Amino acid sequence: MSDEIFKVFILEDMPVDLELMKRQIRKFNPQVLFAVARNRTEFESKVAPFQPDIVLSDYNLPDMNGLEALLYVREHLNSTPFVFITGILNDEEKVAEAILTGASGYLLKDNLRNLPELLTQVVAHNREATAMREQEWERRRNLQINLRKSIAQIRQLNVPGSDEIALNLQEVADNLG
Amino acid sequence: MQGHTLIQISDTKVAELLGRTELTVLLITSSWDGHGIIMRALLEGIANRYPQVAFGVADVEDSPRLCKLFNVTNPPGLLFVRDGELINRIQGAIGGTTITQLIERHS
Repeated sequence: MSDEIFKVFILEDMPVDLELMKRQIRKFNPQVLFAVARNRTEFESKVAPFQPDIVLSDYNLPDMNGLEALLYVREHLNSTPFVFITGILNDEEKVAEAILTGASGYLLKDNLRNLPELLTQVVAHNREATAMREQEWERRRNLQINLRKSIAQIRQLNVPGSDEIALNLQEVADNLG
Repeated sequence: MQGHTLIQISDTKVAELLGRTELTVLLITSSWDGHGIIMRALLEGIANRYPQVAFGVADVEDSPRLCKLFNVTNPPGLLFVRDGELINRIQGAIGGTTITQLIERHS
């Protein structure tokens, strides 16, 4: 991670808990960019485009539970670490279910002071997968830039059909994301 | 009315950007990004109305760290950042009215 910014997505509807979490995360790494969702709609619209290094999620939210959030992340963000930070994930069955579904860990809100230590462990454990995601992102970025520069060049040619080719290629670029 | 010059933001200014407690609106674009060039002109026209908001622009090719941070591969990208939090991220072209509405919602 070194000089890189740590990107943290937080799914939490309680403002006080959110601020406490942010404070503990900054103790782990002061160089941090947050994105926050308070409900399902915000979560599903924000989490994948943000491409977080880790997702921290409450378990009980107004219109979804943490397991649904975890499954969504596993479907859309592959191996991104996912940690439950919750006041109620204290029965063994729920903990087992969460871990088996692919959570990277969990922490009770009463123990938030232990969050920096947990983040250290989770980040170290996922270092290889994170590096692979970064390489893939870099590859996609280079392809996208080459494509967009080619589109701009085609537009300048001003020959019959060039506008249509440029529009088609732009559609390809937009679909690549 | 004369347009406001946007702050040039590069990879070396990331910490400064994340440390700002008031709203920053950052456009990531390029000289070959037609929609981005229009959005830049729109932002230059809008910026005078919001002195409490910082308006910045970054080049997609010169700022790989910023692009990775905000996951922008296909400019234009418009980012709304406050107190280390990305509060909104718009990918693709939007008009001046929508930009103004977003600034007012977030500031």
